[in-house]
Amino acid sequence: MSPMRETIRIAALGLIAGSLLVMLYHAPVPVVRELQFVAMVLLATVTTRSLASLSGLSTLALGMGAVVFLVVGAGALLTAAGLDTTSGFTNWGLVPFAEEALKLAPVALVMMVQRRRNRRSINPSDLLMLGCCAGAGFALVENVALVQGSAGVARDMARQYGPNLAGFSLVPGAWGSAGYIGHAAATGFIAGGYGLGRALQPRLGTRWWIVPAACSAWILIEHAFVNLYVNSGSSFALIFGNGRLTPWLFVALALAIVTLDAVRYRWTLARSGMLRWRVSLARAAMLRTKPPVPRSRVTAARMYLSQVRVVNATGWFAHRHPPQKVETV
Amino acid sequence: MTPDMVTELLRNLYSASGGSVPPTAVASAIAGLMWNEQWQSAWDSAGSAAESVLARGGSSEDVSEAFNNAFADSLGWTRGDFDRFLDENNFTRDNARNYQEGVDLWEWMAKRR
Repeated sequence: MSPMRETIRIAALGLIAGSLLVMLYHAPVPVVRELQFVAMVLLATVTTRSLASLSGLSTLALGMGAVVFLVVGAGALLTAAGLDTTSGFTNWGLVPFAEEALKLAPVALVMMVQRRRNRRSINPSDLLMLGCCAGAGFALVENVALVQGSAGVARDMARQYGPNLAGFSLVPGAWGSAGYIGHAAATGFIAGGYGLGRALQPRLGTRWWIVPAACSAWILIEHAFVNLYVNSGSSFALIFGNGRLTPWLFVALALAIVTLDAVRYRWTLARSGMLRWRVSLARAAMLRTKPPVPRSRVTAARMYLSQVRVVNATGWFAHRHPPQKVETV
Repeated sequence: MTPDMVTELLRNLYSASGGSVPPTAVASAIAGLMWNEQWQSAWDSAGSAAESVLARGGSSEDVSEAFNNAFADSLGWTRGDFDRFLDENNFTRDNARNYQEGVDLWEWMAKRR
């Protein structure tokens, strides 16, 4: 890597770390929760993604930064148009739509960059990871601002709901009485839904778009009901069970995506001697204990994971552009 | 320098937007866009070396050779180290040929892109 790139990399890492430390200082609980969720998603998709975790980190930073600018800008535009963003239809109808749409901007940016630089699209696990990271970035900024603005919010955050393992919440952004799954899982649900729709395209045909449309509609309605409930206390906003089902749906969607991508990984390896060879080499080098051992164990592990990502990228490419006489998963 | 002074310093540094958006958002937006430079590294050097040989019309053996060289180099191994590694893990030439039978999706993808 050139010295200039190395400097940029260190400067970018420093800025992200600085931003997180400032937020951690002001509101440790929501910051730790969001980072825990991001870590969990990165770990769950580590063998099924075609993108490195660093892309997730970049998307998280864009969620904390660019998305916040966009949402504030959209709010300013609505206000300039004479609309009141704090109440009425603008608050429960337009604001959720703007937020949910703008949170997808970093995901769209990564998709665009990948298409331009590598001429390939990203797989459903990538989309799930990027969506969760972009949403988590926005959630970090919003939740820190909420905690700083009102002590009552911190108490509300203690009331978590949804699936958990031994008291460890799988969707930590789902908290309080309002019933919103949290920005991270919400954006992950929409982006992951798009990925799942694409993955099911060979079976669903031209109807594949129903999956992402249903996921988006579910999140938009939930977000709209939450804003309606918070601002008016209307019991009508509770007709969908106050959002208690959504974290379970998110976990089910994530499991489906990871399972489909894992099956495609095996399918791809079975159809590429070159990739089997590379993955076997990298795995053997990573686990080697007698000389010659790798100069750096971390480099060997990264080499192995990069080969896994190439397998996933190849599998998804073959899924999108099937070679003749080869069935896709 | 006390922790409060450091926090104040960071707060000022991150307040370039004049307070219309949360201070940390400025730094985060810059960091996210700067990190964009790193996305190219998603494809490791060994994989890139193999892909560029294939793009130049290299044979399967040339592609494997390019990959192996870059792979060994990344791990800090000499050619001798790498050959020893291959021998001890039963990655023989015969074995390699077995690996290259049938449809190769990676080659197909690398040629199509």
